Amino acid sequence: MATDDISFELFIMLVAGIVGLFLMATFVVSMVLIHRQRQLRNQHKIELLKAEYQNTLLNAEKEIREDTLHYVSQELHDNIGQMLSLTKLVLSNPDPSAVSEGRQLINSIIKEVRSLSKSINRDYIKDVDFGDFLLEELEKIERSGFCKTKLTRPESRIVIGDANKKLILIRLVQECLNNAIKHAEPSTIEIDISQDADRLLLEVTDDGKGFDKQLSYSGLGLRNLQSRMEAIEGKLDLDSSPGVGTRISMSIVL
Amino acid sequence: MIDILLKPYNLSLLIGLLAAIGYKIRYFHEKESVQWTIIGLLLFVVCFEFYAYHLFSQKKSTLILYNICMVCLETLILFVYFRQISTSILLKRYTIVFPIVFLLFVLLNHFLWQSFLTSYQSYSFFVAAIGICLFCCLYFWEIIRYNRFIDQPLYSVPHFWNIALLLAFFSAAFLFSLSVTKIQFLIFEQHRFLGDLLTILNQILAGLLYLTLGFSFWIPKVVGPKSQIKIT
Repeated sequence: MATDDISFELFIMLVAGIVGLFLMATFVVSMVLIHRQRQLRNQHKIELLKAEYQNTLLNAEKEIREDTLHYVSQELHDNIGQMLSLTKLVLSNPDPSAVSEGRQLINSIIKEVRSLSKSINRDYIKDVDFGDFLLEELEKIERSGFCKTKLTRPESRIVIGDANKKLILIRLVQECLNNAIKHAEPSTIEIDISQDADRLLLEVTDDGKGFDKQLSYSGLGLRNLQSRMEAIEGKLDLDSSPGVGTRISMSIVL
Repeated sequence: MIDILLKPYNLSLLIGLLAAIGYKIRYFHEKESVQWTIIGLLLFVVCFEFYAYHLFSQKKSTLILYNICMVCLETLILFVYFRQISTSILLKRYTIVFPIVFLLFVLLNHFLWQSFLTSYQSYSFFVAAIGICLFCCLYFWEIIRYNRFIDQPLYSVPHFWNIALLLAFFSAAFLFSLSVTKIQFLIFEQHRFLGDLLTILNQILAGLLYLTLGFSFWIPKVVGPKSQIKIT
């Protein structure tokens, strides 16, 4: 009788052992399946992010091109066109000294055309130093007489290894400047660039009207700025209050 | 000596050890200390199993050897391996706290219920098996929670196989361990079929476990590169 009891107990243990084994096997298989599902979800997410990044990049390129063409058309009309008219007037003067004056004017026009052709060149943005580019942008604003500008930057050349990142960052700064020009009516726009070991910090500050962040956040295309910044894995902070001005801080990993 | 190798369990143990050593020789440049732990564990098991066989053939008791080597030391070596593969603080703490609790229980068990010298430490083995199974479950949970190995299939990860087999073996082994005293009783009885079946099942699982431990690092070399999900 005792032997039968022990046999029964052993049988129960054997069954329990086998059931335990199968339960654990099921557990392991479930883990593999859940892991696989997460892998696929993660892959899908990465593909979406890649598509979004490409989209951001394409938009940035398109907008930069449009901006450049607008700038070129303005320059041709307001600057080079005017200079050519003036040259025509000067050269139509029978005075011999007018020839020399006309030659000087033509040299100035050649310089302006060279400078314009540089800005149309697609590779220009890729090759230009980031600091130099911002300086040119600020000079354009100052030349237009809109407001004063100031650029603070490190002495060494700023190298942004990823050309796409640089393009998007340039576009971001241009958007910040456009927003300031369109909405803020500032008397000064300042750009401050500083560089850590592996981070680039950028601040665009204006002393214009400013705005209430809670009310105007969606209206000024600032969400767009934020999403573009996220696309290049950077950080964007905005600080503004009515009557004080606006400060936009950006930081990206180089 | 030859007859010891004819047993499938011993043979699988030896093949597992040779596979692990072979991998280390072939890929010596890989500086993973966990590979040394696996080799150490397999070498340790081979040594004590072969010594136990030697004692058994001379009709000497293997009780103390199994109590020290299989119940205590093997569990502790496994926890060294667990510590090496843990990444979260929770698991790392667990691999420190559990062995201490386990050793305290072994002492308690020795003095209160099962003496080291006279009986098999089945209660201690039961606690060890529970601790190992719990770690294995936590390890899987950690993989899912922290999205570990998200860029590669789970079956190409050596530790996945090791942990899965450890879980399978110990989830069944702790029940078998409780029945050891009853098996010993049944040897002298007519109904020894169930006891034999339990022992064979246990040995099949153990053999599979040691084979897996030995071959686990070869798995990514065979299935890894082709089937990995490439995220570019």
